[in-house]
Amino acid sequence: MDRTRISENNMSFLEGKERSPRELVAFLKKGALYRSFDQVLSRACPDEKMTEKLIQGMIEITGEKPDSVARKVRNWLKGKNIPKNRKTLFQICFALGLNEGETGRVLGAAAETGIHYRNPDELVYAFALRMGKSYQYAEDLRRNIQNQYGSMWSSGDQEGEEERPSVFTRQIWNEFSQVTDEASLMEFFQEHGKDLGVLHETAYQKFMKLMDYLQQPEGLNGKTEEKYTMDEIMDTYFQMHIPEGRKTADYTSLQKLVRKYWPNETSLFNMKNRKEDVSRKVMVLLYLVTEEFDFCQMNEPDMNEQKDYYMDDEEEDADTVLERRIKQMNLFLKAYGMNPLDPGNLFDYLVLYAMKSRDGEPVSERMEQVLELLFQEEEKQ
Amino acid sequence: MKEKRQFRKKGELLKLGGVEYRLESMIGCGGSSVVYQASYEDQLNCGSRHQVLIKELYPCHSRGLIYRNEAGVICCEGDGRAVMERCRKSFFKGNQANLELLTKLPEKISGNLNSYESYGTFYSILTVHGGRSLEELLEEDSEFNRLKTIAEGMMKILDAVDCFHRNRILHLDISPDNILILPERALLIDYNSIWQMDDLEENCFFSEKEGYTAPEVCLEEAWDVGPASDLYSVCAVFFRMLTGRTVSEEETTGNGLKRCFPKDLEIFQGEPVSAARKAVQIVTKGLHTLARKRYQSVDELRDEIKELLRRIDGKGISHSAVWEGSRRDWKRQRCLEERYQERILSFLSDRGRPFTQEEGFQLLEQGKLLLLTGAGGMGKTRLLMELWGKTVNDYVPSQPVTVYIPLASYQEAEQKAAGETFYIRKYILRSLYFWEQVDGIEEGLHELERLMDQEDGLRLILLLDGLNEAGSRQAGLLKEIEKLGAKPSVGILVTDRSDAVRSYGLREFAAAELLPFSESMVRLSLEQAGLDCPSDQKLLKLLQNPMLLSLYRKTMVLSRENGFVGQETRDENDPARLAEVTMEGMIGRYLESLLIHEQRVDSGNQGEQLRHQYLLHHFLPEIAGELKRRKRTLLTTENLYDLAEKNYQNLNRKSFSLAFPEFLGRSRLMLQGIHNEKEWFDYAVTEQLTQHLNLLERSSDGTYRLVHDNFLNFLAEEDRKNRQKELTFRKKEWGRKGIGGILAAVILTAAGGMFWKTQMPSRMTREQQGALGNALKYMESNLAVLGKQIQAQKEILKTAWDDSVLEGNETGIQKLEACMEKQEKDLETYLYMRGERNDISEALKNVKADVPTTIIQDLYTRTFEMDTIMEEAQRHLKDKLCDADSVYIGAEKREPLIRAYENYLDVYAAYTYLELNCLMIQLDEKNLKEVRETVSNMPVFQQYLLQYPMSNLSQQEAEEQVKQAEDNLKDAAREMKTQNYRIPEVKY
Repeated sequence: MDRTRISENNMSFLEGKERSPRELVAFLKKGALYRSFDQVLSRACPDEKMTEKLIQGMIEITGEKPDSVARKVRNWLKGKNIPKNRKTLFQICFALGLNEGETGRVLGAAAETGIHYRNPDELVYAFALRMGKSYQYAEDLRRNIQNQYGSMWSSGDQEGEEERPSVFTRQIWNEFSQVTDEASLMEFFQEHGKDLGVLHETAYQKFMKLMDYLQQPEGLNGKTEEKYTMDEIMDTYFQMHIPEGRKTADYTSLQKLVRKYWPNETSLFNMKNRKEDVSRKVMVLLYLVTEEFDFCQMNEPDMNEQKDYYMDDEEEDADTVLERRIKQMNLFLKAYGMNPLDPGNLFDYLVLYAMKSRDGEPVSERMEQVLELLFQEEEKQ
Repeated sequence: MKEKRQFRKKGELLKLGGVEYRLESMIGCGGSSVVYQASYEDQLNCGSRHQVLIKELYPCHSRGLIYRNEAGVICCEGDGRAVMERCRKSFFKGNQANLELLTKLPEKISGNLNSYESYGTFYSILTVHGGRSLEELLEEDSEFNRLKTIAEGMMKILDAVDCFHRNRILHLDISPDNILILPERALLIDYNSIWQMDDLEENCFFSEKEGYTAPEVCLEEAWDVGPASDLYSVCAVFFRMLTGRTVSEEETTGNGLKRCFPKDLEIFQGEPVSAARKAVQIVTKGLHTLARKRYQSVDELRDEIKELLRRIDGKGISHSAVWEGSRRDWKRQRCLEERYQERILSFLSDRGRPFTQEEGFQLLEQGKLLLLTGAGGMGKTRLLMELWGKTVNDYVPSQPVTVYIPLASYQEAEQKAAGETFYIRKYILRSLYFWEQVDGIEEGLHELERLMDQEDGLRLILLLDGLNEAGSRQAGLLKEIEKLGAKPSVGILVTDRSDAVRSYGLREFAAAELLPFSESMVRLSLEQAGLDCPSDQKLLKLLQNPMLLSLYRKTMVLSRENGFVGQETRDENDPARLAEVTMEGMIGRYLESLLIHEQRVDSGNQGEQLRHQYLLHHFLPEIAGELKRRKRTLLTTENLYDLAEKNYQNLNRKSFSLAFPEFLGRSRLMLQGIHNEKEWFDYAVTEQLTQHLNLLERSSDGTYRLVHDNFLNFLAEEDRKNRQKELTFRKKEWGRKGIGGILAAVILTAAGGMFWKTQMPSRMTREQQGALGNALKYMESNLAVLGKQIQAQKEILKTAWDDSVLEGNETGIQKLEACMEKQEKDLETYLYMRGERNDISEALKNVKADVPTTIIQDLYTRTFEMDTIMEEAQRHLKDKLCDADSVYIGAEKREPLIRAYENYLDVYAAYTYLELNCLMIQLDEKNLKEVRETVSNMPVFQQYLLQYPMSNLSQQEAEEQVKQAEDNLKDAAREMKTQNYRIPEVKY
């Protein structure tokens, strides 16, 4: 099944008639199509013997027992679970002999983002994939470079961080695109080593800006309200009726899909303190809860002044609003090196539904309504 | 990134194609090339030199892997080779496009004299056109500091882009630094990002420039890239010229453009507002996120810029600007009410020939003049709105512009300038935001006149609403209407209540009347609202008036929502009901239903309930009273503000509280969150009466009027009654002030009831009398609620007596349950009226001890006692009569259950009344009269007025009656207990 069919199926449900949260939940349970991991892999590697190729490749890479690897691979391809970390995803791509571009797409579809071109590990993997080399080669090279330039592997605040200007992933990517051999890779690390890190710089800055809105909201008459704690932010804006503290074993598969990578207070705290990379899901949620579509209303310093503006409100039908917002959200995501919205991804699809809010209806509330219904109903069952 | 390229130096000689060029200076460099100013010697006139530009392909490489060697040759190493190759292709493609365009349009394309491959790279020899890049000009704050020069600059840029698009080439890198501004034209330079429209495919490589690149280009959505993408960049350049900055990321991904154009933006100062508005519209459309919503062609955008220039030159007055002004007005005033019914009109002469509203509009389009008559509420304004609304959806330059003008505001205009003869024309100019832009309006009026008289100029249809509301001095207005009517380009429709004006004016106008709805239309309208058609012919006839029909529909729908449908038990000949079959009666009923509806919506919010009651019973009537007093149909904001201020203070006026005790001691609750008169005005006038309740209308000139003039008489009468009621208390206050000192000196002694009764008024201080009066009002109010509680319970028991309930039939049980639910809901509306438990203690504080305060307190709190009795009894009834497992099967068991409670309620009511009787005989005549009057309006208690007469009743006899009633109540309670009711302890 190709991307167009899944997207078309899911988008056609959203277009036209206004759908209630209840209708959406029903559609999510029956009718919606989700891009499964095996579809993602099949698209990247349209080989009839993909499964065998993957099992063989993974045995070679991991050195694990063939039975164990085979079971794991079958579980991935049947959708029972999907690889949890990015390293495994890279291993899969090496095992299937994918190139750099295809790997980027697999990562984008299965994890939060495509290849992160500021992360030294991923840069080495990307280089090896570009050159058609093996995983083993990549690992050896990675260790070698790490020995030489180890400091760039640290994840927290780096010394002197504040003194030097921020270098953004997109700039690094431009430079890295010119690397064609091992020598130029070493030169690249020599020259840009200090600019690398495992965290997205641009996304972090935006994350902090948006978190700041939430932490220090401006009250009526421009007065600053009391500062929100992380816990309060989590409760007020992010929780959205997603139950906490239960083992996911109790969840239905749909709930598991929604719950997957849903941020919690600890992860928000870690992101804020640069212990963890800002995730795409958090960025999207922040975009929604801060009502970025109405950016100026909250960001205008003199929002309480009754200023007159020339611009009239143009009436747009709901489908146009959705279409416009999709494009805006994709521009937003692209600016932070993140993948565009995918209607075949459950989380993204919920976002798409929420973005079709009517005039004046907060986008985040719409999302909340669906999630409440989804978890309530399942609870009853 | 640090520049690693080694550029050629000044004076260096460069040999290309046998010609020796001397480099004069470096003009600039981009990511892939460098441009030098150079010269070469003329072959004939030795010593004379030609000036040229030389563009050298020299891509920037971060690690310097593309560099110039000592011989001046461009060399590549490692991955620099791939970069160089990609740039060579772009250079070649761009150069090719430049040459092709130059062949076709030499006057519009930057000159390209020759191109060479030499020194390891490519060179182009370009013509020196003079001029400067737009970037430089904008940085210097040069000529582009006025809207007109910016618009003219845009025309030049569009001409330059047009050459590309006509040849199916997209430039895709339009930004101020790539636009060369010359005296007569603009040139687009740097062809390195161009794409042939037909070559666009997936995986195309696009370059990006922050703030100028279209979203689809940024997202690499090749299928969506087209002329609209270049035009996005052109509009981004326009944005930069207007605001002095580029579009930010937040503005692109959010809804940010909304706040980019405040009216005090520097570039718009001193410019016609309609022009500023047009400029903003252009930017908004041009920078739309979706390509399909933007300008699709250079011509489309050019037409808009031309219109902008017209507005700048024409002082903001043009056919389209008038249309846009009218559209804005319509958006502000449009009627979003119920569905519209097409109307039929009829000429008064011409043998009463009927015609449709559409035919009427066609006459106006032909420049005809109509005087439309109809009684109040016939829907004249609504018809005009409908005609107006149909013309504001699409702008059609060939169609006349329809402008709606309410004539009521003429009253104000006439007051400012006696005999005003430019009211209509000034109104049109104002809709263009024109007034604030010019010192005098003479110029604007002249321009408007010129445009109307010009062939193919401004054609208008004027919808002039309410000649009858224009005040008593209309000579100037009539003169203006007649003058405008004489213009062939103007069609006019004037509305009035009658055609009397034609005896002295508007003689050229054909008179027509708006026919009432037919009976079938009334039936259809009611049917659509799910309402039955009334059988009363008088009412049916009345409903042929659209306003009354609308009121009737709203009232009935509200009643239904309030749970009153089906409860209409009054006979159709009931005098009270017949009184409603008048316009005033229907208005009254509508307002009452509206109030009940609001009370239900506000359930649980006592403050809001009181506020709504106050607005509908006092403030709105006061506005009507003021209108009546001024003999006007509208009030200015200032008038209304003064009224609101006075009205706000009402709540603290003692006489008001005494006259309307439901507001006594509630001002704090009512005004919670409202701190001063201004906030009260915002709340009462703007938020509630205008926006929420839709009972006031605010016109574009800031005046206010009632939603319909027909409300005026009814509300003014209400106001009169309110004033009269309050007046008696004011008089009392004045009287008290006079005798206050004497009264204070009187020493009150404890005495018997009758003595107290006759002497009390003169023996109590003014405060004590006032306090007693208040306490009695509190008590009456709570007794009224108690009456409603008992009445509601009896309604339930009435249903319970039904055979179907006694037999335990399913339908009967459903009916009983529905009845219980309904009564409970209905009761909620009344419960808000009662005071809090402790209010009475507060009110009785200042009443002397020899007044029977205990009885007052007792009667006041009885309603709270009833809450518990009702709750327990109703729960028991429900369990025993409705539960499937109930052991109370059959009428034999059920009847005693119902009877016991019924009896208890009767005895309870009698007991309460007799206690009240005991109080009444101790009251002075004035208070007695008031209490008796109130009780006579309480259905539950009124029967006892005759049963237990007060005449010749002594205090002792009255107390004995209470004692007897108390014993009866105890018996009734015992009977209740035998039926297993849980009766709470009642204080006897």
